[in-house]
Amino acid sequence: MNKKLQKILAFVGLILLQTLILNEVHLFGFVIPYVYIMFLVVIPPHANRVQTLVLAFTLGLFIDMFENTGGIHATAILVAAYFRPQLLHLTFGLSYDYQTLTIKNARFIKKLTYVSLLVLIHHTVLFALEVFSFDLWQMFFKKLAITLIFSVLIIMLMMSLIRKKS
Amino acid sequence: MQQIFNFLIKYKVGLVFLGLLILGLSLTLTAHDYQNSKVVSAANDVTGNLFNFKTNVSDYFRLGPQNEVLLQENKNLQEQLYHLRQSAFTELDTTAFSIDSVYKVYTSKVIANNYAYSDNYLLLDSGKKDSIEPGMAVLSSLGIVGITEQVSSRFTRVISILNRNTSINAKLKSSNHFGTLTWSGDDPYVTSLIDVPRSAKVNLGDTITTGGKSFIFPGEIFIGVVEDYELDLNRGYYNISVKLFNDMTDLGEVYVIKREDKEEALELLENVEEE
Repeated sequence: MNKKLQKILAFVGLILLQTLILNEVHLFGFVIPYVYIMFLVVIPPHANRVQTLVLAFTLGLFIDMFENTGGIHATAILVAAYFRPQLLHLTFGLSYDYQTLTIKNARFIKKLTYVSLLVLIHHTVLFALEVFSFDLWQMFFKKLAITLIFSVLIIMLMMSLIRKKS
Repeated sequence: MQQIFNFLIKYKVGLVFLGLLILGLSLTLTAHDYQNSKVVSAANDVTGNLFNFKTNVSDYFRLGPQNEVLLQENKNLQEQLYHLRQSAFTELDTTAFSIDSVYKVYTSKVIANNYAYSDNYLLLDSGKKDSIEPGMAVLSSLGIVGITEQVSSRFTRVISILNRNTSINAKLKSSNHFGTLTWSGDDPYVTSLIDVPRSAKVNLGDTITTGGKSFIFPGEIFIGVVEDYELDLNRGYYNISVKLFNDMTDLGEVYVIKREDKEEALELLENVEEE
């Protein structure tokens, strides 16, 4: 029950954090850190896959609704959610396979790799769908690179906050 | 039958993924098509009320700049008023006001403002109950902002001029050459005026205003100044970069403008086409 409550809190909390605070950031005029993808990091590594896909998609759809962006956030987080098990296996290896993994207690460098890869997949899909034109490829890479750095930075900061609390 | 179920259970993750992926992509595709972009929209009570709550808090932090803008606008209006009073003594033109009165002005407030995407929308805190309709012009005191697009009972979604789907009739103030105002999707302070005929004389710093050749925007509303221009030799048209007067990244109170005789004019146009 406690696990479920945590999931709901993360879901609602991340939507509010993203739409009320982070969407106002606009670093350099065009960079918004997308932190809601942290949802995929905080839910348990072996969570039900179908449920994870549906929840992630719904979360993205809420962000889309607030941002008037059609379905780009929903699609991007869905793709990231789909590749989550492969990424977990890739970065954490055996401890994931033997179901003993808790991301909170993992080593910093592994956590960073995992978060960066998730955010990379998410942001690539997101900006490709958002820019939606081959003519603007320069803008695509500029947005991707800079936003990636700030998203990963903020997610890592928030992860360290969560660890202290528990 | 058993095999079908086995198949479904075995590949359920992939199938759910594919289904949701198709749903997401189709939502994205319809959003890129201006005519169908209304499926997932912020013009509803949940998002609207949340943005309203946020604006109530954040408004306090921008009272200072907002006062400055209002003061500046009052100053401009006062100047026009004095000017009008002066001229009223010399020639009493009673038709001047009746021409202007085809436009009805409503006030509203921007509660959500995006400019990081390449297709941006705004949300206003007034809707049907404040007599807002789709297709009305949205202006700030400094220049144009966008066009109302989707109206719920209490909120309105505005397609911003920072959206690749908008094209607004605009002209060079000095020479009355017309062009189309669009946005390249990059810089929120700069839009581009395309399709200006090569016979036009373009100078850096020239003022761009609305053309008045539409039923949405009144004419002679300031947009910005020419920042840069180049002649497209193949097509024989100028492409002009326009630096906006309006700071689209910081919008507060706006005016929504309705042209009262719009329906009548559109009806007339439709009748002509049918004949």
